[in-house]
Amino acid sequence: MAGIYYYMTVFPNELLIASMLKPDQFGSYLATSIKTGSHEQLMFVELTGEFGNDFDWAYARKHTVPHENGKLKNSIYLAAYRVLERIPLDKMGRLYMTTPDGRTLGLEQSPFPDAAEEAPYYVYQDLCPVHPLVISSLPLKDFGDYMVSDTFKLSLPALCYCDLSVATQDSVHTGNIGPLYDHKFGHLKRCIEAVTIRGKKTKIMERTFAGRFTYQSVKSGFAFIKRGKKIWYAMPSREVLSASHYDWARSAMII
Amino acid sequence: MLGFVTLAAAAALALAGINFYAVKRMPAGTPLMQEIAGAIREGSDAFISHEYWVIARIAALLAVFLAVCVSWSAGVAFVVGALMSGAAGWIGMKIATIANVRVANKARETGSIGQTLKVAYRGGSVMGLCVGGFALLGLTLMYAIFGKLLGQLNPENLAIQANWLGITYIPFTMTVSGYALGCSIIAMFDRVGGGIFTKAADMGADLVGKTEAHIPEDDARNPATIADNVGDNVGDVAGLGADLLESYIGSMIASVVLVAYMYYTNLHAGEASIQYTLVSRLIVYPLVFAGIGILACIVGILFLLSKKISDNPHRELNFSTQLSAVLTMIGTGVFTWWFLRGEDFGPMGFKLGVLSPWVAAMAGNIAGIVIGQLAEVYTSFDYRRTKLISEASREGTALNITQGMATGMESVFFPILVLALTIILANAVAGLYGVSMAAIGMLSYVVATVSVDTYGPIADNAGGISEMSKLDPSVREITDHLDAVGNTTAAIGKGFAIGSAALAALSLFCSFLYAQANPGDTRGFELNLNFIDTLTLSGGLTGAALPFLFSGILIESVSKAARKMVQEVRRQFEEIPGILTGETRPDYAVCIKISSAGALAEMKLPAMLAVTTPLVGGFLLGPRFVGGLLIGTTLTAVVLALFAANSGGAWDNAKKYIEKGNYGGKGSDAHSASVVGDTVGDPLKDTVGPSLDILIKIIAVISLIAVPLFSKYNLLRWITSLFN
Repeated sequence: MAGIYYYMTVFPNELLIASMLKPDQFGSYLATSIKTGSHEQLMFVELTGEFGNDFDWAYARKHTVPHENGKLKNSIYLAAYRVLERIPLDKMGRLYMTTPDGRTLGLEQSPFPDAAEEAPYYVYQDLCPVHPLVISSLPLKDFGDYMVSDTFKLSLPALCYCDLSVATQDSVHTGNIGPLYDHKFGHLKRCIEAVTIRGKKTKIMERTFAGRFTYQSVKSGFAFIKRGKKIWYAMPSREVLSASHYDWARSAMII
Repeated sequence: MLGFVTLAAAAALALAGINFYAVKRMPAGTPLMQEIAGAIREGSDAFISHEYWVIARIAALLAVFLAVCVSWSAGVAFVVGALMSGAAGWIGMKIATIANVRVANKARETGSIGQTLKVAYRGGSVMGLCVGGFALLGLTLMYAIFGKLLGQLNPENLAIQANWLGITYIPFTMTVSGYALGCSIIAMFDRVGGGIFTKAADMGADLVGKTEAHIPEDDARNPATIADNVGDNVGDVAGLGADLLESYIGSMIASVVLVAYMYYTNLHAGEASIQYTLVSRLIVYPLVFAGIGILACIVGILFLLSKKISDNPHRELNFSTQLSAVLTMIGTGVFTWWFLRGEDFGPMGFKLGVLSPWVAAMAGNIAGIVIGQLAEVYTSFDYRRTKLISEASREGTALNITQGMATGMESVFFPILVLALTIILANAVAGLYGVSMAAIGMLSYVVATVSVDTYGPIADNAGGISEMSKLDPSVREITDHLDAVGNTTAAIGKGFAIGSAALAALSLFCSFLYAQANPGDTRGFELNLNFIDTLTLSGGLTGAALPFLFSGILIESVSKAARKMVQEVRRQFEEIPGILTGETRPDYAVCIKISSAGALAEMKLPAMLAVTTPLVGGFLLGPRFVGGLLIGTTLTAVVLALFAANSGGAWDNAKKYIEKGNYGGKGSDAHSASVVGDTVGDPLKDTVGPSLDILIKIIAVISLIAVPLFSKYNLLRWITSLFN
């Protein structure tokens, strides 16, 4: 009998789902199944097992069984609110990125990058539990620490985010960076100035960017952070994607 | 001389046969590759068979009409022309569907661009050689059987004669015109039918697959992707081959008709200054000229196939074509001097002596190259105009469309100027005969240009097969590289097709005016068209509007068929969820049937419009109206064809430029805008533009054949006679 998988979706919203589908099938199911599918880009993490008492694991085990016709159960929803903050980071397995046409790529955890490239500003996409597009003077690691620290007035209990590449208006050759190019450029410039000239640590450029976020613009990878703990999933380079994950990279419009 | 031409045609067909079997013998790759290629082949075969069956019924009626009402020789020649053109298109399409998978496999086995290029080019050369070989073989047969054996080329028969209906014409000119019409009919249906098929499939595949389901290009999960690949074969291969074959023949027969009527009118003007020996040579001259061109192209093809190929396909293809062109220039120059020396050219209006027709042909040749290069300037993203469209896409879809239209419109002027200068120059050095020689010059190495043009869709198909067969990305890189070169050569090829169509149509138009001569016409015969005359002016206005009506119907046809395709692809995604997860294969055959049925149903109206307009106009309002109609149609159709081809090409390449990672690349707002622009341009560049080439020529050929009929029998004349 097939086992139960527990998945936490982190994008476009946070859900805890039990399923009998393997990760790639699960991604494909969420993006494309049931008639024409939603054709959404989504990300989820496979959890390594049950933990604590916050979620009804017994309910999951009871209902995550094959249908009468033998078909595997696609999904049993366990939680749809404040999920990330209740999941220990050490229970997180691989992070999966699914494209709108249902192709899924799994990323392994890797050591958190300590030294960030020095730059006057950085662009971050918060993915879970909130979705703003943020300009910040803080490098990758510091940004996460700041977002969950006590000193930050709007601090979050946990955060999943990634850093993005942006192109300035005058660059013609940009690579496939997707919808960030030319997007509210005047506003972007003012937000950058708020960080680089007026010395703000963070400036929200857009309160939610979820509808336009694509994998193309991810610079170095995805971070999950809680106070004192953090994990990292490095985004493969364009060359690695082209050589080893060609189909996924084409569907993600990276190549 | 006919022996030499037959030898050249036979050599072309023999090499085509050798290359055909050489490609066929190559391994076709993995079972999955063979399965996908098999589906493309079956779809292409099924469409061409249905299409030819439709054409056969219409052609049979026309053949009987010609044989009964005009002359039996014209009826027979018509059938031979249709068979030759049909055979070239069918074999070309066949080899394209055999070569595509072998190209992909060669890339898979060797990882070499050069070796893969050789397979694609060998496949493309079969189409090129068949176009030249079949066209010339058929025309030589006409010369041998009707001209020599049945004596239509004897001096006494180069005269206007009346048939049983009292319709007058020079027998041999009517025979070769019938041959040209046979080629035209096939070309019209191939271009229109293939154009509708290919764009319905392409747009259906893109609009749902790419835009709604976010599936990448050539993904096996897209139900319309095989139909899209079938479309490349039936539209871009069979259609293009039949188109250029028709232009090739049209330009040659125009020169023959001109010479025959010039000889006759001159003779009956009592001057008899054009000697029969010169006339007989000038009638055979275009054939031998074309024969030399074929041999030069064979050398060019063999050179490319036998040398060690570099990894720069553009350079290799250019070199082979340029070698063919240079050898044609040298060979025809020497031949012209040898064949025509010692003749008196004064009465023909040859100003540069023996080399006059050759100089006119070279003017056409150079004009073709310049028009092709101009097409590249306006459509390639290596140049500013196309980059401007990409840049305008940043400001949204409307400005992408606006900039593309501006580019397309501006792109018309300079090629037209080149054509105008060529006509003036050709006429100045060799009279009206020179104008027809300019068209022949432009097409003298048609074998090489068609070979290169056919290589493009083969490489494109190979890319699709690699993608669907999940071959290594490096294979797709090779086929993509070859395909990109094919896009450039296709733009140049379209320039040639339009330019040659315009020159051929002008020559045919002059022949049309001559063909109104009656037995015994002497000095009273005037070769002019009076645009102050209201009938002619009305014809001109009607003719000017015709290409717009024709294009509108074509775009609507593509749109109708594409909508059905969109609905079917949506239905499959909805009813077969396993398609998107990759668990179930889509029903490719249904999509092929939809494109096929759409094209077959929709091609009849525009094709029949082209065929019947000059006839209806002629039988109602007579030859003056049709004369105006011809000029009006030619002027706007050439302009519109250039606009359609160049704007469509520019929109396509503007999108490709963004996809190369400029202005945000794939997924950016600029990209979305450019995808819309490309979709708008698709039916323009691949359906409207190519079909207008044929419209120009087919109404000229039909008018040429029917002018003796409607000169004698037309409603206006009958009504006028009632009041006199």
